[in-house]
Amino acid sequence: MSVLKKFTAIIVVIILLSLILTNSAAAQNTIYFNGQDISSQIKTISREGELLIRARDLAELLDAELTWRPALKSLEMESQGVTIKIMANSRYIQIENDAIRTEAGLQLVDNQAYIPLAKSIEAFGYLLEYQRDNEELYIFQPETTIKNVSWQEDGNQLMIKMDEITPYRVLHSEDGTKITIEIDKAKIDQEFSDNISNNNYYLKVINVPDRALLRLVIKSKTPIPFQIDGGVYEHEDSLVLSFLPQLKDITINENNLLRVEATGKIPEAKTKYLSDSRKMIIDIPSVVIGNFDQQIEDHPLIKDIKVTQHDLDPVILRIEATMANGDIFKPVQREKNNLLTFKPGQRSEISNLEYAAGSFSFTSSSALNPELFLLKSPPRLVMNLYHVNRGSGIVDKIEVNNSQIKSLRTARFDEQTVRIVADLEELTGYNWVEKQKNGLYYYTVNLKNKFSKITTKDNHDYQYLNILMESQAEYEVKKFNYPHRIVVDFKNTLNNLSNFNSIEKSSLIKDIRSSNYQLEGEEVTRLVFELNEYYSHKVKSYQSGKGIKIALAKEFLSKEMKQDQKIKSHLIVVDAGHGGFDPGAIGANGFEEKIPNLAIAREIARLLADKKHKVLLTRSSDKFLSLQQRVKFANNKNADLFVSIHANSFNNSQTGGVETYYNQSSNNQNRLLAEKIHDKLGRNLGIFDRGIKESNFYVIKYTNMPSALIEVAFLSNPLEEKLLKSQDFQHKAAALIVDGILDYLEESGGK
Amino acid sequence: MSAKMLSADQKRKGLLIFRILLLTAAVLYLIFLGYNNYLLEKKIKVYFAADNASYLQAESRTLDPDIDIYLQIFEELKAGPESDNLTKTIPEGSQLIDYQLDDQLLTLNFNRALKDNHWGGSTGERLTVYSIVNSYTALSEVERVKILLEGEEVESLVGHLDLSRPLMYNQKLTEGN
Repeated sequence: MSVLKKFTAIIVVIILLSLILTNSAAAQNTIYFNGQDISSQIKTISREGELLIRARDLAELLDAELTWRPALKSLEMESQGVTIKIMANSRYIQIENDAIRTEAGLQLVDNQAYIPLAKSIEAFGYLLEYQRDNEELYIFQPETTIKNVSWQEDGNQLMIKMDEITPYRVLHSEDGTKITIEIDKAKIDQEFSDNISNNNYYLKVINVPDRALLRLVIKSKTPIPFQIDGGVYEHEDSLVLSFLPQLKDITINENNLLRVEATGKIPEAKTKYLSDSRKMIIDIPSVVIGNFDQQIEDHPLIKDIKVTQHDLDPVILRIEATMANGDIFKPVQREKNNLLTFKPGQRSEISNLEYAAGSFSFTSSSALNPELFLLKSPPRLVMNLYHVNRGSGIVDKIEVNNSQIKSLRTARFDEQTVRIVADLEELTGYNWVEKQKNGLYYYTVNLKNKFSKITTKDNHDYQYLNILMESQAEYEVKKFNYPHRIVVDFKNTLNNLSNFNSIEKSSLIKDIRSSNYQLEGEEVTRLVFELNEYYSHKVKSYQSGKGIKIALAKEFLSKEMKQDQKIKSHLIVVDAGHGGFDPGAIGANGFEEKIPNLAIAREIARLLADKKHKVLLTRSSDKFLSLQQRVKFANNKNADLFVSIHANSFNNSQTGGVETYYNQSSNNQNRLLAEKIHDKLGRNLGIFDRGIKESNFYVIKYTNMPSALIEVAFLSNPLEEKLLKSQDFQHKAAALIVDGILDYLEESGGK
Repeated sequence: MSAKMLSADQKRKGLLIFRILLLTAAVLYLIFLGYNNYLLEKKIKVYFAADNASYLQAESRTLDPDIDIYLQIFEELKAGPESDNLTKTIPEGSQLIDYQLDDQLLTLNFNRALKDNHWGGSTGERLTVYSIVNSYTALSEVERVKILLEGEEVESLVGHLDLSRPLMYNQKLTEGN
């Protein structure tokens, strides 16, 4: 039994193999019918570049009734209600009432009739796909029938009804006037109705013979508002193409309301006024031009309206309304989302033109979109204001004669434009700002400020830096360390320092540099004074804000200032961690923690002493002290502050950074002290900021005064070990810690 | 008569059923209790340094019934983490010499290697000490931990953290807090 089964199986395999082999050997044009290879069952010939099939074979395939009339040499084939006729010596196939031209027509070979395969089989409703690469011809029945194409009610969706959704593609031409929907394995229903062709659109259905697909081509004179992204979706057995809303009409009613209506939702439109051409421009995104009505001609307010599809990517519809006079239309609150309404607008009134050094200002009853430009000879700044009238406080001419502005003039330039002209001493940059307050709009035009004079002055106690500007300056003075420098940032200021002779440097100032950069979106001109050492500074302005005087002093600034800040001398205990036989942590390359701890502690003591504070070190040499001895020392001395200096370690050489510890239970000022110190260290030390931490460390837990423990850097990290060895880094850390301590004393009111 | 007999018989049967039910309930209860205890004690938590030495994070270990749990915890700490993201916190050569549990205060007596072989630093010390404290206080019977070195009280392990007082579980230093 089983032997027999095996035997048959082997035979079947052999037969199959041989079939495949013979087929591939005869490979020219393998023909598949509904997925089955029928090449061996049919006879084909090729004539005039057309593939012909023996009529008898085709009839068999399609289960068709074949009638051959020898007298007429004519052939009839009928299947499922469709009849085709073809005659010898004729190139035409008659399909019902149509005649289709073929290349070869009916051919008689060996007394057998051969007819064009593609044309006849298509007549019976089959689809053909010829894959040229491997010379395979596929014949199959369509998988779907397209029944009709219609607009949905809102006119923004096109629905293609079909039996079943087969693979499809939607293509559109570059200019947007043509979209093509390719649907695979589809045929068109005999009762197909085209419900979309109209004045605007034209639909053409194309059967692509060799590729077994149907193309629906929609053309229009104007771009078709097909939504390029996400424009197609499937709804039951229909393909739905979404279209953007189209402009429907533009009207102006008896109340002079200008109305723009679309077939669908209109997003926010942008309105601009071009005064020189008396035009109002309305740019409407995501709306296409469509077949709209427009009945505005020689209206008393609007001379002309032009509508264009301004852009397709993104889609923008532009309406350009040319005004009959200088009036404007203003958008009105919207009632419907498919409607934009504009009403004739009142002109704005400007008033109260005023000036200051390097600036002038005025108010307006509504928002303006001014146009500013510079003219060369004579140098002047022109500001065009559209659709405004001159109100109170706007005179023809004001003599200003300040350092930058000679005079201000205003005039009606034309029907819709009022022009403000500032006659300048010389051309310069400018900016303008708008502020709204109580329904009024405040406009200020600022000419770029300029440096007028920079001087330095040596006094025996202080050195002064004087910066004089052309007009009142908007500035900020900052101090940075490492390198020590004073930085002054000026807003809206022209960097004219290159015109200056080199500024005389005082003994404190190593170098003066300037640069321009963007700070929070604003151009800033920065002056940098490099100092040769750390100096405290104090800023004062003079000449009603035009001048900036920076006093620098090596000593902590004047007594009055000290009193201002109420910082008295404090007793600060600085604790260098470890020491003596306790080396503390040992670095990756053997550097012992007790060394940088002491170096930094001593530098802190020196800097604090410079600030007239009393400083005590728990140890000033390499000796061992227990934690308890350190705490007792500070408590017995009744110190005001206690800081302990350490270097960190962990058993991972990657770990690095600076951290500051406080103890929360012992003193409620501890956290503030740690914050102030760490605020400096975390930002400026140049290594990773590990943050502030709370911990029950012995020396900060048992000291009675505000205290903090600083772990400057990690000795277990070879890079940071190197830093801890360097005097620069030690001094930098010390200076930052001192900065923090001073900040703390200032903020805590010197308690 | 026969009614009475029947009634006595019924009583016996009823009693028997009651006894069987009681026994089953007791057995089930014991199984449940034992199972629960078994589950509770099956896993221990040991803490290691995580996230660039910023936190401690626990890993679970299966309890070895053949070793004392207190010794096992220290052995697991010493063996280090399984995860590559964690770092061990106990220096080489450290040993837990003995321990004593007294009213939820666990006194751990280590050899000096814990101090002498330690890498130092506030971060290092904090993570070492609290990896020990957090691992032991994870046990329900331990509330506080006191660390001794070779039987002696110390003010600190390597010069920062106060060890003169018992320490409690440190939530702030634990990952996720």
